[in-house]
Amino acid sequence: VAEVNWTALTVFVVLFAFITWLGFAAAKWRAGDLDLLHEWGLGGRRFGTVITWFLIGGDVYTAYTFIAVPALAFGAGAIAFFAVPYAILIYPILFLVFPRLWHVCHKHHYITAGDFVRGRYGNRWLALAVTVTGIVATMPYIALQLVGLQVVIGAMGVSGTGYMADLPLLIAFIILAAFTYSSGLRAPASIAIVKDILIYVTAFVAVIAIPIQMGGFDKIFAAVPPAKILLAVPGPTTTGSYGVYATLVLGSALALFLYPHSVTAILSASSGRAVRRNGALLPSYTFMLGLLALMGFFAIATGVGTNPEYAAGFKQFGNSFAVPALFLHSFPAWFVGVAFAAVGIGALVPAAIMSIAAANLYTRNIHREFINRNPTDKEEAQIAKWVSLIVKLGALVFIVFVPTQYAIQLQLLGGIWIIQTVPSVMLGVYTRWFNDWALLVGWAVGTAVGTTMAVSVNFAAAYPLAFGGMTFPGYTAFYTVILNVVIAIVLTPVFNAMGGKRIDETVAVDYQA
Amino acid sequence: VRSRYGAGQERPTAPGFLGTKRRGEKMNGQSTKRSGWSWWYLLLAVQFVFLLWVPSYNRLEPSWIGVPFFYWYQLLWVIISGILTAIVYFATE
Repeated sequence: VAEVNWTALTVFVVLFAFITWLGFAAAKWRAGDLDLLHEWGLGGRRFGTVITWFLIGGDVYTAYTFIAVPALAFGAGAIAFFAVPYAILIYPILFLVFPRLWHVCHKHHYITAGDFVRGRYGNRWLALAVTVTGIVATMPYIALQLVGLQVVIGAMGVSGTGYMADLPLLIAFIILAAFTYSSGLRAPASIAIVKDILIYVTAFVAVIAIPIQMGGFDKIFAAVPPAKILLAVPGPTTTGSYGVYATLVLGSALALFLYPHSVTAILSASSGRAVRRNGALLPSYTFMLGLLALMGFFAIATGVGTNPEYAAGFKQFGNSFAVPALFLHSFPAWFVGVAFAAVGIGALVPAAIMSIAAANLYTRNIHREFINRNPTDKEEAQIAKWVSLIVKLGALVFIVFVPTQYAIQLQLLGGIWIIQTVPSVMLGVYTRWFNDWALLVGWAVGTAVGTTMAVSVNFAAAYPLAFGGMTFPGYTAFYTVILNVVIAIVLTPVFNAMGGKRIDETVAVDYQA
Repeated sequence: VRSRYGAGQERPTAPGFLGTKRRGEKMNGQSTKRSGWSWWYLLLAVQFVFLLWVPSYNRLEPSWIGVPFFYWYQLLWVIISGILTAIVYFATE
C-alpha cells in the first residue's frame, strides 16, 4: 500500500476548497435570473472574448486529454502528437462556421444544436437524432473526466478498500453537482480561469525544469526507442500511419465543436465577434497541449515505467499513470499538489459544462418537444437542473461499477456518432439545400456503419479500408461522415420529388453580424 | 418570422467597449451586414494543406535544441495558424 503524500494532498485539498467556494460564489457573477434556462445553461450569453477563451479552453482541453495524450505518447509514440494538428485545425473551423451558428442561435433564442436543427429544418425527428447523438456521445466523455480525477487521487496515495476506495471521487462529485446545480454555467466559467492558470504553470514548469534535470532534449529523445519518435513509413500498397494520422486529425477536428459542451461554450459568448477572436487566440492553448504531449517522452526518459516505486500505479491505471508518475518523480511534493489539482480541476470544469449541455438538450429537445410543450420558464430551468444531476450521477455509477475500458471504447464511438451531425449542423449553417429526411437517413446509415466498423476492429480508432489492391487505414469517423454526406446528397432530390413542405424559420441575414 | 422560444426574455447584449459605437454600426443603430464570403478565408486553408501532408514532416532532421523536426515543426504551426487566423480576422472585420 502506497503511503499518502500529505504535502501534495494538502495543497490539492486547499485548491479544491477554493474552487468550491468560487463555484458557489459564481452564481452572483454578472448576476442573472437563474430560473431562466438561458441564464442557468448559457450564463445569459454574457461572456466576452476573454472569458470565452477560458471557457472553451477549459472545455476542449480536459483532464482526460492531459492524462491520455501523454499516455499515448508514452505507450505508442509519435501518433499521439496528432492531437496537436487536430487542435490547430479546429480553430479555422471555429472561426468560419461557428460565428454563424452563434448569430442564428442568438437571433432565435436557440440554446442547443437541436434547437437550431428544429428551426432550420422544421423536423423534430432530425432534431431528436442530433439531440440523442449529443447526449449519448457526451456521457462517456463525462465518465472519462472522472478517470483523470481517479488517477491523480490514486497517485497521491489515497486508497481504501471496498466503498471507501471511491469516497474521494464521490466527494469531488458531490461538490461538482452542487455548484453546477446552483450556479449553472457561471460555475465552470469562473473555475476555468483557475484551472487554465494552474495547467499553464504546470506545463511550462514541467517543460523547462524536467529537460534541465535530464540534461537537455537530446538526452530525452535519445532515451526514447527510435520506433516511437517517428511514424512508421507506409509500405507500397498502403497509406499506413500517414493516412491514419491525417484522418484522425481531420475527423477529430470536424467533430469537436459539434459536441454539446463545445456548442454550449460557444453560444454563451456575448457576440459572434468574441467567437471569431477566439479562433485566433485559442491556438495558444494548443501550444501548451503540445508541450504536455511531450511529457509522455519525458516519462519514458526518466524510466518511471520500470521504477518499482511506481509499479503499483502503473498496474492499477496503466499508461495513464505516466504523467502522475513523472510529476511525482520530478517535482517537490507541494508542486505535485499544484499539478494534480490542475488535472483534478481540469476534470471538473468540462464535466460541469458537459452535464449542463446534456441537460439543455434534454430539456429543450426532448422534454419540451415530446413531453410538455409549454413549460413555464421556471419549470424549464428546473428540469435542466435536475437532469444535470442525473447525467452526472450516471457517469459516476458508470465509472465506479464498469471497467474503464468500456468508457474509453464508448468515448471512441462517441466521436464516430457526433461527427454524423456535421451535415445537419455544420453544413446546415451554410445551406438549406439538403432535404431533412435525406439528412436523417444519412445520419442513421453513418451511425450504424460507423459503429459496426469500430466493433469489427475491436474499437481501434483506425479501420483498414481496402480497395483496388490498396489499403487505406483511417479514422472510422472520417470515412463514415463521407458516406453520410454522399447519402444525404443522393437522397435529397429523391425526397424532394416525393413532396413535403420545405420549412425554415431562419433567413440568410440571421447568420451574419 | 416569430421564434419558437420565448422572445424578449433575453437582455440586449452589452454595448461595445466603453460604450462606444461598434464598427459597422450606422447612426440608426442598424449594423451593416458583413457579406458572407471573403477571399481572405482562403488563407485559412493553408494550414490544412501543410498539416495534413504528413510525409512532408515525418522526419528527425533538422532538429532544434535536441527536439526532432516532427515535433517542433508542428508546434511552430500552432503559432503560424494563430497568426494566419488573426490576419484573416483583421482583414475581414
